[in-house]
Amino acid sequence: MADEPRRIITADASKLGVGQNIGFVEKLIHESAAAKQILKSDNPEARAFQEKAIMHLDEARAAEKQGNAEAVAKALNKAKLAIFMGMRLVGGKVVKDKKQENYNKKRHSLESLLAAHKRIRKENESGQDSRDAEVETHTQKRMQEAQAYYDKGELIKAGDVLNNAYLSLKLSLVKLRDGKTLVRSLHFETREDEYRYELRRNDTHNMLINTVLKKKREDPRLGKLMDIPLKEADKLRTEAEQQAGSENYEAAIKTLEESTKHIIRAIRMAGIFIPG
Amino acid sequence: MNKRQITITSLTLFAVALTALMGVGVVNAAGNPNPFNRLFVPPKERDTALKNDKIHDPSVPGLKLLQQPKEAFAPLPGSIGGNYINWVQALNKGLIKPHFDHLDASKEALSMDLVIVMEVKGSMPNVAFPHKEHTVWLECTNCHDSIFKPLKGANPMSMAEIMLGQKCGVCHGSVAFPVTECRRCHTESKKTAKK
Amino acid sequence: MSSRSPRFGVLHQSNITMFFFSLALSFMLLAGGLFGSEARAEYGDIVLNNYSDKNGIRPVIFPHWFHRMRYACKSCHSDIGFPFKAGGSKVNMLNIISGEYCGACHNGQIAWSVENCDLCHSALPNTPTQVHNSVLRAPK
Ligand code: HEC
Ligand code: HEC
Ligand code: HEC
Ligand code: HEC
Ligand code: HEC
Ligand code: HEC
Repeated sequence: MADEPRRIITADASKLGVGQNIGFVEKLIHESAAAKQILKSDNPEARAFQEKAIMHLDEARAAEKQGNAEAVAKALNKAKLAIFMGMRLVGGKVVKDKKQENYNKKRHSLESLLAAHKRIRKENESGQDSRDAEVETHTQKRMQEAQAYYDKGELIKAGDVLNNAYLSLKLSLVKLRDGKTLVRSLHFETREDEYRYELRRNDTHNMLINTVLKKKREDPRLGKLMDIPLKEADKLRTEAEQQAGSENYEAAIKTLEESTKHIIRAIRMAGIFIPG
Repeated sequence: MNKRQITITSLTLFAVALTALMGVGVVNAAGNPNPFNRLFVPPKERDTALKNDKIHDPSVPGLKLLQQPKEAFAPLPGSIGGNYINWVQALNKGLIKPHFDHLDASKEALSMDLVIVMEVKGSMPNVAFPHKEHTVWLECTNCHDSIFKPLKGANPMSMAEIMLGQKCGVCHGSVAFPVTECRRCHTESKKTAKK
Repeated sequence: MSSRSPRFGVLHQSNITMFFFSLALSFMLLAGGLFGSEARAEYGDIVLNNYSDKNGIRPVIFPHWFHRMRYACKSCHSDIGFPFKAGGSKVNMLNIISGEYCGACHNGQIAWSVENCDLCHSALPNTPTQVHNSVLRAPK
């Protein structure tokens, strides 16, 4: 399996646009971020690989002049492998940065999931299970352990320990919540909240007009017809915003509902029935 | 298969049948300067060839080594938007077997069957967010809490935001089925949802 | 509230209309609307061009549809750490050769290795970094 992919490059090298490839490889050797990193690195070994790659690149160019496609492919492949070796020698920093980034992202997520676990366990009056609490202390311990590795710069260990902590927490969360259906009922604390919801609902319908139905609106006849309810909708929306400005949310909600109804009318005019 | 899946499946099949019928119309019209639908291209008739897709460089020799979407999609169940593939069914039927871990092909997803129903005002059907269909593809950390706080109701959202690529729209609109497939999210008619 | 109720029972009138709505919308998008004549790329195709044009090399195309048939999103977006944003990782060849990002698989062991420049660098020059066929984030 591992050797399979190489067949593509050797067997089909002529098909793969070798001429173009010389240009690409040249960029990689001379101008890429990696090439610059090698030059900056003062790593004599990496520099030696870069020189070697340049040498093979010259061979490839020479072979191209002679029209020997097979030799071009061979030399080019050597150039690639050489520059890859050089690149690997200076890749340490990007690998480290990446591992740190992954670790920090995961840790942040884990904290939020741990908080959710704690909350759900407390809410769970029926079957209090002491094992659930243990999962939390276990997770916390593991997170501290991971952080200790991270601080020592042992990033692979840190990542593994953190991942294990995540997996056991996930298992426990799945056990607590599997098979459940929770309803986010539409309930507004204040009239202002409901007004904000209506505002969003109005935006949504406006957006359907401006995106999905844009083409329909450009039709002169239909466009004119649709304009009538849409103008009314705009007017009502402005009115609602003024009502909300003077904190008359009750009225603002009613006005917005009316505005949205007009937009829905326009959508239906375009031949599409959507539930209101 | 539960009732919902049956409903959706039958609807999707119906859509595909309809689309196929329209496709036949276009095929028959080939060579006719006045086909019934001139600019309207049904999904099955779309030109998906890589060399014509306006992003691939047709002069790249390696292009012929790449797979054509049409070939790859042929055995998969259809849908009405996005890739025109119902990825949920493709996975459930075992037609694709994506590895859950790129280093260990034997690892399997640990999925969670938690549904969050989000009530919507008016007669628009409610949204049911199924964790199960997501956790077979994704880790909890993909969503929590960079996209959603793991707390019911803590993430107010609107369709407008979703259509602009926020919240559910992070994926539904660029990789997972797009927002135009309203019915796949707004699954709960009001009659049965009220409790 | 906690057990699963028979929520998905009756096929309500509004369900049918919503279904037709989705269908109509999709067709409209196809019929030259947002998906237009320009973006024929497969849904989810990503062009990466943070550096390519500047370096005089063809930009890169990453096909989501191809990879998602082989890997769960989680492999790339959690284990490997690609962000949910086209161009967000700022990946370059140094990362790849060092075994990060695309290089976590395109290393001659899991998938064909980096020598095959053309298979990744296959885009038309001047194609901007973006995800394709996104409903509203279509090219300007
Ligand atoms: C697995 C896919 C893949 C393969 C194979 C590949 N590249 Fe790249 N390459 C990328 C990606 C991704 C970028 C970043 C593109 C961008 O944002 O512009 C890139 C960027 C580059 C750049 C500019 C950025 C930098 O690193 O400084 C050069 C030069 C380059 N590639 C050369 C090559 C050459 C030469 C080969 C063949 C030996 C090759 N690439 C093979 C994926 C690939
Ligand atoms: C999780 C592993 C993985 C990662 C990460 C990955 N690939 Fe791949 N890729 C694969 C596998 C497996 C194949 C199929 C190889 C084969 O057909 O032999 C593939 C094939 C491809 C193909 C060819 C598709 C075809 O039509 O045959 C392209 C192009 C490609 N990858 C580009 C990329 C780019 C660009 C990146 C980084 C942005 C990337 N890949 C990251 C695993 C990966
Ligand atoms: C595709 C994104 C996504 C993924 C992946 C995901 N979730 Fe969620 N999760 C959500 C959304 C959306 C909500 C609802 C939040 C709201 O109501 O505001 C939620 C809510 C929750 C809640 C809160 C429920 C309550 O009790 O209030 C928990 C706990 C939770 N998820 C755990 C998990 C776990 C464990 C996983 C992994 C097995 C996971 N989630 C994967 C999107 C996701
Ligand atoms: C991190 C990416 C992501 C986010 C965020 C996300 N989804 Fe999904 N969703 C997916 C994927 C992947 C699938 C599998 C189907 C596909 O790709 O088309 C899916 C499938 C679904 C399905 C199953 C459809 C069916 O036919 O069974 C529903 C319903 C759904 N998503 C609703 C939502 C809702 C509602 C939200 C926001 C609260 C949301 N999703 C957020 C990635 C996501
Ligand atoms: C990816 C899943 C998804 C798809 C697809 C989807 N919706 Fe929504 N929709 C939601 C969510 C989530 C909400 C917010 C529910 C809430 O308020 O908590 C919502 C809310 C709404 C609302 C209430 C107003 C608002 O903006 O909050 C309307 C109206 C609506 N959707 C219409 C549509 C229409 C029309 C379509 C098809 C074009 C559609 N939706 C497709 C997930 C989806
Ligand atoms: C083989 C690796 C791979 C797999 C598997 C994969 N992705 Fe991606 N995804 C990428 C890469 C690469 C990018 C571009 C990120 C970058 O440029 O830094 C990306 C970007 C994205 C984006 C951002 C698009 C935008 O709006 O800019 C989303 C959303 C996304 N992926 C969702 C998904 C979902 C959902 C799945 C599973 C169905 C998935 N991906 C599977 C590699 C992958």
